[in-house]
Amino acid sequence: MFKYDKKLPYPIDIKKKDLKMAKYIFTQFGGSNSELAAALRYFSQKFTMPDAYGSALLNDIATEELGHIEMIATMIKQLTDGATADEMKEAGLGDYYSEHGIGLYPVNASGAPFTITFVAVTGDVLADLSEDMAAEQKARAVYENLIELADDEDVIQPLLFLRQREVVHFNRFKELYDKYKKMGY
Amino acid sequence: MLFDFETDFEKKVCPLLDIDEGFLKGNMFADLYEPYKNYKPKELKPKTEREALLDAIIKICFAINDLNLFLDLNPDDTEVYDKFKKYCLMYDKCIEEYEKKYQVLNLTDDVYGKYTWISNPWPWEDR
Repeated sequence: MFKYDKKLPYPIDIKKKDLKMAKYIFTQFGGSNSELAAALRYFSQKFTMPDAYGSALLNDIATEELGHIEMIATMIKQLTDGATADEMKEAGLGDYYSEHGIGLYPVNASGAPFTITFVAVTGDVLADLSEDMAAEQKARAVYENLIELADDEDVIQPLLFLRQREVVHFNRFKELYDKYKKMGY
Repeated sequence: MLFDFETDFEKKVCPLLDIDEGFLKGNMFADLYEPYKNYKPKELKPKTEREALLDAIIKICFAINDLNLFLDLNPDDTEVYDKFKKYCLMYDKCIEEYEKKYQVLNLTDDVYGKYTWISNPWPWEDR
């Protein structure tokens, strides 16, 4: 059960329309290392963690990722606010516009739609946590690429925040992995 | 006992940051911060009193969330738990103030005599 709060984990306040940047940031909405993939990955894996530590950590990180999806989507929404068909075409989003207008559909930066095959669940605790650690590292790398592509502080700051969260999550998953390894899983 | 919390993790010294610095750096534990190149995180700049209070709520919520993840793996750490409890109380107070003054943030708090949940702004709208 979730309780929705009318607030973001980090406030988004982007004033400058930038469709090219929106196209890049889409990758964290619907790409293979996206926040959406992260949330579904941990949300699915949490049911077969062997004890209370694993259940709690995967549940709580999955919940945090749901907030991150909303942050990323908000960034795209504000970057594309009021965009015309011509502007979308100009930014390489013509194909996207033909299907979705300026609605938000989870795709990656090249326009490929989200698929659940981005996510693995094996039912093996060490395999699942290894996947989670790798996912956090890949997401961190993607955020660094996005930060390099951005030139607006209103975009860079929330990306820096999200990047650091990947670092923290990686470390927490690693702690859990090491603990389970020690316990003989 | 429902859960076995006996198996303890190796005790690590994790100096806690305060709420402002923790939020700025995206984590509450000094030793977990990894800056990216020369990029510097910047303080939020609220333009109104309303934004300032909402930002304060967002920051406290962040601190609670980050301590939450730590406590999931280290439930017996009383120092971190005490901080966690303190921030939860701060959070409730700020939420109450914000909801009285401006807007309901959570559906079940919508108890001021009429249904206001549908009122703007939603988090993705302009601040």
